[in-house]
Formats: sequence, C-alpha cells, structure tokens
Amino acid sequence: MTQAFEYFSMGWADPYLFFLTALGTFAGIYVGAIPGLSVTMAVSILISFTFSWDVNEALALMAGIFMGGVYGGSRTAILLNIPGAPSAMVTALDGYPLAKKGEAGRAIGLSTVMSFIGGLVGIVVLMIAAPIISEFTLMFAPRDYFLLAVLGLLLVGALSGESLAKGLFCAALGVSLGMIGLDPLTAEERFTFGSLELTSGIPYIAAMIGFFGIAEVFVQLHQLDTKPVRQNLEKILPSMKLVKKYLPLSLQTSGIGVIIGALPGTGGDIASLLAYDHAKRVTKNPSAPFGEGAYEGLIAAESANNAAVGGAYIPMLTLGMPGDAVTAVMIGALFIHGIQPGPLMLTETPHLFWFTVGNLTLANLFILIFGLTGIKLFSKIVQCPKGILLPVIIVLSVVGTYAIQNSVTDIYWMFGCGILGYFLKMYGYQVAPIILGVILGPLMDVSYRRAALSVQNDLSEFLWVILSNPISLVLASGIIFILFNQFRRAKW
Amino acid sequence: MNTTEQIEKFDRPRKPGELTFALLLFLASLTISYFAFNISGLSSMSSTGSIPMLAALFLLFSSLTTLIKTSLMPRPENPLAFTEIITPRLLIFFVSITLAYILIINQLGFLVSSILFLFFSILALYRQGPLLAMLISVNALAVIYVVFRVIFKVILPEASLWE
Repeated sequence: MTQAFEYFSMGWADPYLFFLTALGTFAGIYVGAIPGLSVTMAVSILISFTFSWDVNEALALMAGIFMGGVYGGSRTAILLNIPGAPSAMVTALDGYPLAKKGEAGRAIGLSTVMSFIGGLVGIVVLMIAAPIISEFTLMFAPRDYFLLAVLGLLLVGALSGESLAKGLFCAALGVSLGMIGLDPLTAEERFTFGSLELTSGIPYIAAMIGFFGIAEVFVQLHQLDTKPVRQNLEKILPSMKLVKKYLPLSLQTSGIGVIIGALPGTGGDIASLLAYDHAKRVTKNPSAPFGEGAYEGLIAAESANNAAVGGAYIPMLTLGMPGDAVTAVMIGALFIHGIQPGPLMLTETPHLFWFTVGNLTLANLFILIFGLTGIKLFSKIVQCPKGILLPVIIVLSVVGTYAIQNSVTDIYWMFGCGILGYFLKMYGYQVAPIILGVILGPLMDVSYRRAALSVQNDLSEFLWVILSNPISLVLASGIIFILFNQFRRAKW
Repeated sequence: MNTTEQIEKFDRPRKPGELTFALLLFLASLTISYFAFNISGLSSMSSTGSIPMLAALFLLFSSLTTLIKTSLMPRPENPLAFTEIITPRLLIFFVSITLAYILIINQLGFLVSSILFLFFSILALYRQGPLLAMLISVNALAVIYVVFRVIFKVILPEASLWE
C-alpha cells in the first residue's frame, strides 16, 4: 500500500513530471477546444512528440492531454455550439442555450467544477476496480481474448455514422492494415509485397495522425470562412451554493459515466447521453426546460463524460481493450513506449499503473485550475482564423509524425492516410473504426489462432470449449446480444 | 420510385463522385481479398491467413452493400459538381502545396520548407496580404521550433541539399 502511494505521488513530487502533466492538460484543453478539431486528433498529434522520451515523462504528458482533451471539447460546445468531441455533443444541448442567454461564463464554470467531480469519481473507481478486474482477467484463455476483441470491434455499430456497412468496411480495413508485416506466430509475410519496409507493419501512429489530423484539416477547408460568435465571459466561478445544490446529481451521473466508460465499446458520448436522460427523468423542476439552458442537463453531461475517462482506463489498462477512438490511440502510444496494457500490467509493472492513476488525479486538478482561469486567452485561441490554424496543424502533424522514428516515409504514410481519410469523410464513412480495427486486429489474430491451435484446429471442439467455459460463454452471449440489439436497428 | 420518395428512403441524394468512390473501394476489397487468400489459402483454422481472409470477407461484403446502396440513391443534382463540392480549387491548391512541402522537406530541411509552406498557404487561406502572412509564418515557426526542438529536443528533418 505504501509502495502504491509512493508510485501514485511520483508525478506530484517530481517538479518536471508535475510540469509535464500541467502542460499536457493545458495543451489538451486548448487543442481539444478548437472548433472542428477532435480530441482524438489532439491526442494523436500531441502524444507523437513523446516517443523518444522516458516512459514516465511520456505517461505524465499523455494523462494530461487525455483528461484535458475530453474536457476541452465541452468549451466549444458551450461557446459555439460545435462539440469538440462526440462526448461533448450533449453538453451543447443546454450549454449553448445558456451561452445565448449571456451565461457562457457561468456555464463554463459549472461544467468545469462538475467535470472535476466526474473525473474524480472515475479515478476512484479505476483505483478500486482495476486491480480486481486485472486479477480476474488472469483467468482468461486466448479464446476469451479473441471474444473480447470481437466484442470491442462490435463498437463499429456505435461509431458507424450514417451506415453500418460503411462502419464495417472501415473496421475490416483497419484489421487488414493491422495485419501488414510479419506474422507474430510464424514470421510469415502478410501483405508486404516483397517490401522490406513493410515487414515491420505500418506506422500506425502516422496513420492515426493522417486519418484524424490531416483529413480533418482538408475537411475544415470547406468551412474556412465560418466566423465564431463572440461571447461575454464573465462570472466564471460558480457559487458554493450552486455546486452543493447540484452535487447529488453530479455524483449520480458520474456513476453512470464511469460504468458506461468502463464497458469496452462505449465511451463518453453514450455515457453523457444516458446521464442526460437520467437527469431528465429525476429532475422535477429544472432551472430551465431541458434543451433550453437547464443547468441539470449541462451538469449531467459534463460529470458523465469526464467520469467516463477513468472508466475507459479500466478496460484499457486491465484488458488492453480500447473503449473508444481516443483510448485506441492511447493504447497505440503505450505499445510504442514498450508498455503492454493488459492483465499482467498490474502484477508485473504496478508502478506504471499507480503512477498513471496519480497523473490522472493531478491532471484532473489542473482541469479545475486551467478551466477557471485564462478564459480570455482561451477565447482568443478559439477565435484564431482557420486560414492560419490549418497550415500550422499541418506543420505540427509533420513534426509529430517525423518524431516517431525520424523517418520521412512515415510522413508519406501520414499524407496518404490523410487523403484517403478525406474522401472517406466526405462520403459519410467514419474513420474511428479503422483505428479500432488496427488496434484490435492483431489481438484478435493472435488469440484466435492460439485458441484454434489449443484444440488442434477442430472447429466443433473450438465451439464446445466456448460453450462449456463460463467466462467464454458470458462473452459469447454478450456478442450475440449486441449483434441482435445493435445490428437489428442499424441502417445499412 | 420518384425522386422525393428516393430521398426520403436514403436521407440524402448521392454526392458527386460517390458511386465511383464506392466502386473503387469494392475493387480495392477484391484486390485485398486476392492477396489475403494467397497468404496461406484455406489450409487450416489457425493458418497465417485466416484473420486476413475473414477481414477481406467483411471488406467485400460491406463494400458491395455500399456499392449497391449508393447506386440506388437518387442521382446528384449536378453530377459535374465534383470539382466544386468534393475537390474545390482551394483544396487542390492546399493538398498540392502540402505534398510539395513533404517532398522537399528532406532536401531543404524543416525550417526552410516549413517557412515556405506556411507563407504560401497562409497567404492563400488567410488572404490578408504577403507582409502579414510572412509575419505570422515566422512567428508560428519560431514558437514551434523553440517548443519542440529547443525545449522538448524533438529531432526535425535536416537539409540534405547543402550537406
């Protein structure tokens, strides 16, 4: 326990790590808040700079960027009615009407405090639940990991946008991209076309920057002349009375957020939607009708989506499973730093787990500090013309991609993925399932083949083992349940 | 089915070039399937090519579904508007200048190629004159260089031309 506390407080005691967490949170908030630039884009570009760093330094910055990025998305939802992230979609429902009434400052203040509370609940649950789940997942066999990967891939149903077929296509494309290189079990070549460079696979952080960063910049060119509305940003700090009044609702919706965030395949967006629905049902006399500037709606959404961050860390650290696109990028970054997220992480490298929890707590505190200060600087950055912003993002993407392994070829990959991502986006495809496929494909491949080998490639034996093992049976039932529920209602 | 009924069924009319793009993705899926099958064929359940083949199957199925659905969508109002809607001139210019930037970065180095890229793209996108474009470019690049090269020690592409 003492040792866990030592690891937890490492980021707090070391001035440089403390500074990096602060910097990450600051950068996450500001980049994540720029209209049209998603949290995933912010995370993928910013973490690319950390690849040559020491692991602790990189983890400190990454925790800050993730926490800050998710929070930052709500700022533009309130000020401009443009959610910086899907998880801030619900924030806009009541946040923007509040801004239109001239209460943008109060809405930002309230959302900051509630995000802090939500974030804290998420971290506490992560601290308690992760060691228990990790212990439990040690009992998982390769077939269970295969089923888990399939379960995670079913997230495409929620990430598909206008058509499930398009979501499936992107996920399958991601799996295929993840297969490029040498087979980890037999060292046979797959999709390498005789190229030596392709034997180590595609540089997927470069691909992520391309799909999320470059493609988004090209799409944003279509809205080059959109002018942001100026807001009155006074009275940021909410009164203690107001915070106390809404604390019970914030705690309830944080609970919803952390549970939803912890489920592989669901993230802050679904968490905030369910929390909003809960707030609507339990609030008898809202401060204003829901959708017209109700504090309750804003509080529910913000508490839930920040609590979902702590929740999303649970499957990410204990199972190596991404909850959404942002956690998929984070897992990719952890791999590059030589960290294998999964059940063994807590037993073999407990210091990394507690260090990460400590950093998340610190980043959460910085959200409160940065969220309630520097609002004038913030509004200036948000109002930066796109004609300046977009070229600068390209330069940052180039710097970030080159930093991974000092290779110009990676920059070409980034550009190619950016072009493909642009056309995919323009024709209604979502790029998030591609990243999900890239991350989960190799896990699915290795665990499936190990499971098949363990039953001597006998299909009936394979199915029987799944049906006769309680863990596999629960996972398989989950897959069938999601297939029926999600895909039946989906638009093809 | 008339056009109104078609739009109601499909939410929106087809965008210019959408059918061609769907066809290209289907052809790409066919190619990937061919290479996936060639990895190890259907030799066994745990063969090297099993998951790539499964992924290829999904690629084929989903791209074919999308191709059929797209072909049934109402035609775009102006099929020739591809260059206006999907690839407007500004986009072509920006993509070209970005491509030129990443192609010359190895020869001219990070600083020279970035300043050229920033200047020309800000000049075209921000449209406030060359002086302001140069001022912004120099300042933005100075901040990027100090933060990433000087503080974070990130390695940047160096010029091979004057070596």
